[in-house]
Amino acid sequence: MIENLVYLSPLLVLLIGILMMLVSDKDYINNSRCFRIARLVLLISFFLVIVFYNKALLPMITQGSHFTLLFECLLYLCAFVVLYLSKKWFMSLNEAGNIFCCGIFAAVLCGCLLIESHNLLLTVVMCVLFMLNNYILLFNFRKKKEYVLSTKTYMTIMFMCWALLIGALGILYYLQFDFSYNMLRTDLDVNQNNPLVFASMAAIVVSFVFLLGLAPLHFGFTEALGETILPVISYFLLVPVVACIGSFIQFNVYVLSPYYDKLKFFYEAVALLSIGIGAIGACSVQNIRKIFAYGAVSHLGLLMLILYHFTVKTVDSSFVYLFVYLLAMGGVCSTLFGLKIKGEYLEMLHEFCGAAYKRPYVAAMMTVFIFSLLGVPPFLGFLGTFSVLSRLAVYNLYELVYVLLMMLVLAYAYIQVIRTFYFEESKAVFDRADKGIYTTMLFNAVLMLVIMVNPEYLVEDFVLMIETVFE
Amino acid sequence: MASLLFVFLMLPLLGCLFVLFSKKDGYNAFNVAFFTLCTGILAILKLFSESRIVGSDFLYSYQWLKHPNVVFTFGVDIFSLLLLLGVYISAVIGLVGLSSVQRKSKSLLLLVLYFIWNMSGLLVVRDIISFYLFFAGMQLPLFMLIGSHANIKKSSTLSLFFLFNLVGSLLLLISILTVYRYNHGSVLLSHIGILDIPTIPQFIVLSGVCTAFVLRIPIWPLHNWISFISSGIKNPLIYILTNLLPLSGLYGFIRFGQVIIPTELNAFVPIIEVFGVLTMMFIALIGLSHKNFLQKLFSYSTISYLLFLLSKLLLDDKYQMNMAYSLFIFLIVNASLAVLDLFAENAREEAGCDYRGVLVYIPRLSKLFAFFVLMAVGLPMSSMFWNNFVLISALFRESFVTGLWVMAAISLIGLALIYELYIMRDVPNNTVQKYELSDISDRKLIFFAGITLVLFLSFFNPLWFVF
Repeated sequence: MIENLVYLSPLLVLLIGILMMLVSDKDYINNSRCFRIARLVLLISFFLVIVFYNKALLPMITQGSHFTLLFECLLYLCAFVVLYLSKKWFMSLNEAGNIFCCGIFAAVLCGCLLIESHNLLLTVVMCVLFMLNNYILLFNFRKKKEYVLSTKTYMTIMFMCWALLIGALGILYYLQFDFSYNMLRTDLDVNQNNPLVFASMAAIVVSFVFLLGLAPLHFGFTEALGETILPVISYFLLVPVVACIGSFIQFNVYVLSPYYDKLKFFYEAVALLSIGIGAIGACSVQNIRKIFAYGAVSHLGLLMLILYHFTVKTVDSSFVYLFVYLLAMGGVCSTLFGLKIKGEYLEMLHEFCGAAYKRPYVAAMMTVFIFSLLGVPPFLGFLGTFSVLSRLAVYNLYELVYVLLMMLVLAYAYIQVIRTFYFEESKAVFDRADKGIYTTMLFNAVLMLVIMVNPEYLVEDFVLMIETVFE
Repeated sequence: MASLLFVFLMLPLLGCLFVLFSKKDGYNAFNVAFFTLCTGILAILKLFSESRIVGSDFLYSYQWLKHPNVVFTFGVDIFSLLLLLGVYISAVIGLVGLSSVQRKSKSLLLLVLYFIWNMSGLLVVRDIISFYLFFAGMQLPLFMLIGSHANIKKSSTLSLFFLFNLVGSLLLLISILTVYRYNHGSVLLSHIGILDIPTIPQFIVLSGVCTAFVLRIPIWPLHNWISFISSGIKNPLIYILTNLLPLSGLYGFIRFGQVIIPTELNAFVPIIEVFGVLTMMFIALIGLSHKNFLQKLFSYSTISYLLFLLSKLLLDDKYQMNMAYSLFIFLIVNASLAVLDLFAENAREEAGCDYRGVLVYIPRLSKLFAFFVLMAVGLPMSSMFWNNFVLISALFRESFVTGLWVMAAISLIGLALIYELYIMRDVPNNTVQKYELSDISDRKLIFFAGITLVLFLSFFNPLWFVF
């Protein structure tokens, strides 16, 4: 019992953190201290996760491995970066950040359990809680209180996914399936041709699609991100992605393999649709946050296009792409935190006119991160893009051509951002960026440089950890 | 040899680093860039002599990735070294042409060095993946240079420029990935011809490669991006670098074509030939009608690139060295003319003098200008005379009609340059006002005199500087 509690300690620390944040009074605990405590809690939890990396958080229904450790580390790092950057936002606007920290803790808690889950019931519950947490963050941190349409859209899709998940669980319970992944797999093998079982599995997959913000369920994601605050956008672009991809891989490898042939058309359609809609959507908006939200849809669509084969090589390639995406998108978020005028964070493209003349280093880093997202050599993004596209070239040349065409469309959207930063003149006076923002960008850039020069760390060492999911 | 090549390749990057950390409002960044390029020239000269000892088969490899198998392979031969030397000397000429304000711009110099690094990389790589890396990599610094420092206000022109280049890069990427699909790893450029690829993928590879390179060489109807850009650039260094971009496409044809021609690429040759010749005539006529020397120079450089392209496509590989000698001189002459024209233009604007007859008031510049124009039109003053003569004669032998059109285009653009020189040296009889124009300084005179000497000596031996 005590041993199990010790193994559960990373989650308990997070739970304590949530409670502390909930009960703290914003007048009593100032923002700086609140975020310092939040980071400390996250670090302690992270440390405990590493110490007990091969122990299940909840015996019988979770399982720890190198694979889960890797994704949990990424999850914690993303959450840490989001917390670190968000502190600047909340402090500069003097708004209470305890609820936001709470949301981050809850997301990490749900994410860890989702990644380690070996039980369908736990996976579903965590998906539901994750969605709820996302919704609370979106609803609480709307920029203006009248922005309700996008959060309503998100809520509608969320309720639909809940209904699907509950329906799926109900069907499986009715059919007397065991919810543990190993037993479920055996049951699925036996009931391969049962349409109800297939429908319930598809329902769970749909929920993952929603959590990842992929098309055609991207409306809530992209629209809501345009109407929320910068910390929440950073959270959405980084944290749920890691947790969901990790869990999605495990769920497919351990459970869904009997349905690969049936599901692959769905995955393929979702991926192709996301790539296209993301690229075209990014070109059609003027809000920089929406541009990157649509960009994320397109990038995750590309990741899905390779991932859905679920072979060792495709999972490896997808992980490389995911890692590169996280670094570049994290960088983009940090640069957005670094640009403000008279204390106001910017969102419309025209507000960034001439940013390169006033804040040359921030603008230069934005350029590097954007080109990295586009996969233009010699930036790190090329490694991810090459890793994914070389795999795609083996599977389907027509899809490769389509992807490159959409990359061109997406490039047009990103080029507008660079054009605004560098080639448009403005007399606006940009505020001095915080040193912490520069530190984050520098750290990010150095990491990208090191990996680009010697990608063996990423492609060889990390991938060995990824492959444990197939053991 | 391997270490020298590595040092040479890393020099511009090292220069970038020093420029980045140099003082903001001084000439430190300029000095660093100048020193880096000069050191690069010395390294190239050393590589010339080393490659004579080691031979052109020398290759240096670096395993970048094991899975997927990506090995970067580098190597040099006399052909690539000549082009490298041409590129570096052009860049130095461009630096000399910068105004004192431009010399203080760190971002300009940083991007220039970064572009030169990509260009150097492109000219020394020997495998397709690293070729793609540098081919695609050079569009970013040029895009930023043109957007930030070239005074081009029209944003659609910039977007067009970037998208045209990105399309080219993506097409090349498709070709490379298709090759990768059948080979599962890096392929040496010299091995592309012997890969066993089915017909349709082979067609994809070849069309991708050809279109990617053609997009860089301004052939009608894909010439818009470079003509829009070149006609608006006011900075000599950026003008020179922009005119180096077609060299990457031409070099791609030369390297890839070495193994593909004359079998698989045969289907594309007549199309490119027809469009190439049409573009040459079209641009020659436009050049004739322009009233600006820089635009005439752009027409001249486009026609020269197309001449080299047609020579590559229609002639045997035995003419390759003639192309290299001619290209080397062409790059330097083109850069020198761009800078000298800018000096003349600046002096004219300062004194408020008319364009007609401007060179009369600046005798030193006038002599240099005349020398370079005459060299450009093909008078026997450098090795370009011999080598262009050989190439055009061979084109006539290969196809009389094509040769005739090429000759007509070259004559027209030569006429246009000579006419412009005449206009700039002609003072109308009724002019009474005398202008005081500032001529070029002694240092610049010595610099350009050195360049003319280098070019003139090449008339006797194109590789006179190799010991």
